[in-house]
Amino acid sequence: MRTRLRQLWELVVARATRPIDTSWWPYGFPPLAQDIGLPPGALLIVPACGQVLYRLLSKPEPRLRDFMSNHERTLTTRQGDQPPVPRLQGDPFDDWCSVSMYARPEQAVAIAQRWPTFVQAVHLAAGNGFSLARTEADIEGHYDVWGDPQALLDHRRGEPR
Amino acid sequence: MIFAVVHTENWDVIRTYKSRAEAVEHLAAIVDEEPRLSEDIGIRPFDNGRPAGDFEPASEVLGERLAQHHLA
Repeated sequence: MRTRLRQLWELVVARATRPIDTSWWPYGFPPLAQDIGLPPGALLIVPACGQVLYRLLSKPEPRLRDFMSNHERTLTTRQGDQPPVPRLQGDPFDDWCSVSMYARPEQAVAIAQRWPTFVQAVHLAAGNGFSLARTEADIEGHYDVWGDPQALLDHRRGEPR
Repeated sequence: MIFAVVHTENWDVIRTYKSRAEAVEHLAAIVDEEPRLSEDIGIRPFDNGRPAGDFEPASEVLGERLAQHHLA
């Protein structure tokens, strides 16, 4: 019994201390969860580590609201603001709490069909609480991003174009 | 081909569906809840990762249905 317990303990220690194989993910943009064998519906949300993504704006001057999820807009919308998209029963909460961004500016621009539309680069620097996930397999370059709106606004890189 | 429900304020993707009918239902449910979004939320089809058709606002997609809603 003692030997068996010892073997079990050694197995646990070996598993906990083995080096993590990161060859499948080069710490750039995370893959779709399904591309690494996770079941449909699963998300691979990773902490940001310096990626630059592109957010669409409807005005040339970026506003805090541009970096708010629908959840945050629901909490902060005032009279005169555009109404936020309501969360319907059964809608995934993760979607409702994230904002859409794109890996390349041209991918972002391809989505927008009303003008004027501006594209703002955002540097998702590590250590700021930003997370991202590739969530839409069928939309090229699309990522969901989670982060404090003010911090996202503060991490703009360059001017919108 | 997939159908994305999108919000034009920042072009956030709200949800994607494999059928247009499902996307229309979601759109209708949102507009039922918040009719002021009828011009700013809509459907965009995608194929092979890229837009495969124009953005259609809820006001167009749900035209008759919305008119009935306003009359009710």
